[in-house]
This record gives sequence, structure tokens and C-alpha cells, in this order.
Amino acid sequence: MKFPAWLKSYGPLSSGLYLGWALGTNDAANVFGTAVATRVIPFLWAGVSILIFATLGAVLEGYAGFQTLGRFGAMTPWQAFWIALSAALTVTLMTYLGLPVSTSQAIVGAIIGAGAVNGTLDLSPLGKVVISWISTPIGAGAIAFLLYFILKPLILKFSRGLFWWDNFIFWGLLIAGIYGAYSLGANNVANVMGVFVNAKVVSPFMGALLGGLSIGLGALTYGKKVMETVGEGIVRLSPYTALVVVLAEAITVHFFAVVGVPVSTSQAVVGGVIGVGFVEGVNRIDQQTVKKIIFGWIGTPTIAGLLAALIMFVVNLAR
Amino acid sequence: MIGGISTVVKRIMDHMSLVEKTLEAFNEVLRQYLKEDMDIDELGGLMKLVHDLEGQADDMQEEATESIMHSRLLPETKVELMRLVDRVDGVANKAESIVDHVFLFAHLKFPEDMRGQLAQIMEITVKQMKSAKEMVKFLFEDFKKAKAKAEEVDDLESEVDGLERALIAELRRWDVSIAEKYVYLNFIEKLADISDALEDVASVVEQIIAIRQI
Repeated sequence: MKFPAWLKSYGPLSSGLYLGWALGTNDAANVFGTAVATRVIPFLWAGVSILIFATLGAVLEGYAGFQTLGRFGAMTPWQAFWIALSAALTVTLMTYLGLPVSTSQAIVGAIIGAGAVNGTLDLSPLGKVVISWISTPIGAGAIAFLLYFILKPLILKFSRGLFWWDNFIFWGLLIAGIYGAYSLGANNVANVMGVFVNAKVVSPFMGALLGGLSIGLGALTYGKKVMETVGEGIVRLSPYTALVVVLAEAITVHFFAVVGVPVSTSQAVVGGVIGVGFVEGVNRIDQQTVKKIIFGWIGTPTIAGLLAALIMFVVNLAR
Repeated sequence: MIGGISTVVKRIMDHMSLVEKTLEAFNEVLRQYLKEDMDIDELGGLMKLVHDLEGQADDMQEEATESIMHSRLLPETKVELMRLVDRVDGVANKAESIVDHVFLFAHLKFPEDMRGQLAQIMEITVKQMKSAKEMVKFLFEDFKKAKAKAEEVDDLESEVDGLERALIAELRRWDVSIAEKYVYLNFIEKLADISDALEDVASVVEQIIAIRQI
């Protein structure tokens, strides 16, 4: 059977686009969950904002992440396909099982698993990646803690009654959400397209554009339900603290986009929630949350790595 | 993002003005009712005025609710404002229900000193209504001022409470049948209820502000 040339060239991208779509559906809630769940911002506004700004973030600042993931070792286009597929399957399976999952941690695990089987693995960037993962919730917590104190006197100074407050919350959540979407695209596009840029299936620009669009389309087509479900968890915060959490998450994720390490937006949100909890004297950290984060760091890459290794082993056998 | 805000404010304040007018008219009903030489015709005219004003307040409540619903306020704010307007309307409803009571029990004759205290309750309630109106106006402009006015409304309610307790203590000493005492007690309580309803309005405002405190 003869495949058309375009399918041979661009077919491997399909698993990456699917991974981007899945990432968009899940992570959209971390930037616009509160605003949509409380109906402050209509879902369509949130979805379109993510589509535009995640794409913009990916195209303008997504390249550093491509380089980091590329340092784990060279790969062919179809190896990239299997790696992205392994990560996507891990994310889908764990979401189905109700286990905490991070696309960033899944793709790194898959790259390592496949690289080990193919004999192309270079573990030198792993230290930087792991430190970034651990720093994400801690950093977001510290930023949320500081933001809470910085914004409070400003708001109290300018607060002018009910309608002023309404405007502040609306614009605050919209701007924080837009910044969050930009950071999401800039940071997480490497998860989606990093392996394909590394395998030279697409140019970095095209990878960033397609990756950003796939994340945005995931949010726009299937993000509503997740936003409403995940958003409710954050809704228990006051609108002000929710705003601080989203901003802290966006700043943290943006920082790691510049550093060039894809991190988990969900873990950044958890860190932010814990940070504002410290200010308000509320203990929002429980053992379950800690277990979920640690599982994200260890369990997700392990499962994705084993799956990718198994798939790669079978593929190599079949050749 | 917020559309039709000036209409929302105008209708809420217009509604409050009509409730205030209803209370003022009701105050006149009470004055006439407590007179030794009560003029039944004048009382009837005043009672009709209370009913008419309450009806107008109901219509304005609908218009205010409509404008809130169609504004581009946040959903939570819409719910809170509708609850506020509903509580404000409850104040006029309370006054109207006493008018019906007056109509049913036109023969109630309070002694001189008690009449003074009843009139005083109503004077304080009218004052409380003015504070409540300013409180709602400030709710849209300045939370601190609105909170101060809400405290004023609460304080006036405490004054009414004191008068109500004194009247009930006085009633206890009366040498009348239990059934009669019950009718008088009911009237006193209903009158003091208007002040309680205004305190409820202040509570709604305090809650609106409290959940927006950082």
C-alpha cells in the first residue's frame, strides 16, 4: 500500500495535534475556569481568547521549550509520532481513571521511555526539568502570597461601590485569563510539538502555530464542561483570591516558558491556592493534594515512559 | 461591559422613593388612627393612598427587576440586587398589611402614653427608611459610606425594639381579656415589623459588601 507523500511527511503530526487538543480541553479550566463557572465571562469569550492568545504565546515564546525537549535525544518523525501518542494515551487513560495527570510530565516520561528503547537517550536536561516541576507549585504559591499583599491596598484605594467592583472582577478575570492563555501556549506548546520540531517534521514557527491552534481548539470545542467542573473547585475562593491565583499561575507558567521547561498549569494553580490560603490563615493543603502533586512528578512520567517504551519496543520488533 | 447601569440605579432608587412615600402615607394613617377624634373619612382616604402607593411600588419593583435582569451586571450581582429590591418592597407590604389590620380593628383604643410611643415608633421607622435609601445610593458609590448607613439603620431598629418592649410591658399590666391583649399585641408587633423589614434590607446590603471585602 502506497501512502501519499503529504501523509508520509505530515501524518506523524496527527498524534501531536490530538495531544494539543486534549491539553486544551483540560488546561483551559486553569485559566478561565473560575470566570466561566461563575458566568462572569461567557464560555465563547473564554474559548476564543484561549484560541487567540495561546496561539500567540506559542508563536512568540514557545521556542525555548522546543530546545529543552530536543536535548533529550534525536528522533525520527515516526518515533516522534509514537512518543506523542504514548503521552496522549497516558493523559486520556489517566483522565478516564480519574488520576491526576500533567501533559508536561507525560511527554517527558514518553521521550525518556522511547529514548531508552531506541538507545538515543540523553538525560542531561532532566535535572533542570525536575527542578522546574518541583518549583512550579512552590513558585506559584510564593507569587500568589506576594500578589495578595501588593494588589490589596491598590484595590482598597480605588474601590468605588458595587458597579466598580463588578467591572474590576470582570476585567480582572478577563485580563488574567488572557495572560494565562498566553502563558499556557508559550509554555505547553513544547509538549505538543516539541518532538516534531526535534524530528524536523515541522519548522519551529509552524510547530508553534499548529501547537497553539490545537490547544486553542481543544479549549474552544470541548473545554466548557471541564471549565465548569474544575472551575467549581476554585470558585470556593472569593473572586479576589481567584483572580490572584490565576495571575500567580500565569506568571509562574510564563516564567518557565522563558526558562524553556514545560510545567503543569494545574500544579501552578494548586500552588497559588495554597499561597493565598497562607495569607488568609486558611489551610488549603491536605494530604490528598500533596499526594496528587507527587504522583504527577513521579507517577505520570513513569506510566508514560513505560507505555512509550512498550510501544517503541513493539514497533521496532514489527519493522 | 456594564450596560444600562444608570437605568438600574434609577429604577431601584425610584422604587425606594415609592416605598418611602408609602411609609410616609402610612405614618399619616397611624396619626389619624391614634387621634381621639379620628376622622373616618380622612382615614379611609389615607388608607386608599397607602394601597395605591404600594401598588405603584409593586409595579416599579417589576421594572427594577426587569432592568437588573437585562443589564450586563455579573450574575451574582443581579441575584443580590433582585433580593435587595424584593426586601425593600417587603417594607411597603408590611405597612399595607397594617392598614388592613386598622380596617379590621378600627375600634382599638390605646391609652395616651402608649399612643405617643406608637407614633414614635413610626417616626423612627420613617427616619430609618430615609437612612436605608441613602444606604442603597451609597452601595453603588462607596462601600464605606453604605456600611455606615447600614449601621445607622440597625441602630434605629434597636430604638424601635426598645419602644416595642416597653409597649408590651405596658400591655401586660392592662386589665383586659387575653383575646383583647392579643389583638393589641399583634398591632404593636406588626408596627415594629416594618422596622425589622428595614433592618433586613440593611443586612442584605451588609452581606453584599462583606463578600466583596478583601
